[in-house]
Amino acid sequence: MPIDRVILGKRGSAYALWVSKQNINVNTALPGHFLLDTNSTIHQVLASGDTFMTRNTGAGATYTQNIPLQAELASYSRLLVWANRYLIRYDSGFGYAGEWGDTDTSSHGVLITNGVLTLKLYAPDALGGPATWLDFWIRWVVFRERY
Amino acid sequence: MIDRAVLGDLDGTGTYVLRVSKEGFNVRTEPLGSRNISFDSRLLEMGTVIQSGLWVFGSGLITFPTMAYAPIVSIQQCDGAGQLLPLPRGRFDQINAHHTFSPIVGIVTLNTLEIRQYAIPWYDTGSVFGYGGTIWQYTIYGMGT
Repeated sequence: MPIDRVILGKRGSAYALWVSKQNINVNTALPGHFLLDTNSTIHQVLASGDTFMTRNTGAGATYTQNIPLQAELASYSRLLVWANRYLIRYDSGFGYAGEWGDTDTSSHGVLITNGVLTLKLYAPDALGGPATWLDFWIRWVVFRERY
Repeated sequence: MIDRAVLGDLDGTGTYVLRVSKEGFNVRTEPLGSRNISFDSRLLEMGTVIQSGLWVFGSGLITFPTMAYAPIVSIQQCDGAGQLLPLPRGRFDQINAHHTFSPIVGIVTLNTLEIRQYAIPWYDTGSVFGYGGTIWQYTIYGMGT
């Protein structure tokens, strides 16, 4: 038996466009049951990239890259960013030059200020020692959501 | 009345879109990337957001509208300047004073999110870095099974 899956107009006391997920009645759908609810934010990607940060690190050093986003975003700060730091071993003498996981003792941070994405790589301090034979990269995705 | 949906030329410049704004906002005048736009076909879609915000570690459960399943959730630490620290492991310089970091976990039910530090009961807790008072950004998605 067919079920209603789309409402363009009024549902309860609110107006919007709702599209429910497969096999769910849009009239009785709960939060999380919608493919589209135009009174909610939809998580959409504004920009993404893969940025080289440094080859090797000095003890206690901070490496920064500032990346301007598209001009339309110049007024935006604190957009949500997901970022992942990864390492590539460039010394082929070890017999392995593939991508490494997050196994080092550095860390990283990300922040958007007035449309510019700032990536920071924090190297280990003297206790941890510098990291050598490694290229450091950060993959990042900027979403429309703000915090 | 204001325009809330466009299927076609957005602004007479040949920019063809399906675009829908939230209640009270003009779909034609909101800039690209505005949080007042609920859908824009120029962007890639990742699912609806049920709730998002900032939360102070140790301040209790985060509650959200009851869902039919435990949703997918993302959490990441945020410092006082707004910088996101995607991997909640702490800075290495803090290890001078704290010998180890225990993982941060998010425990999700149909309507709550609990963010807490994984307990290591057999370890000297005094030397485990504590996250009390730190700020966390969280997002609850309309996705899950």
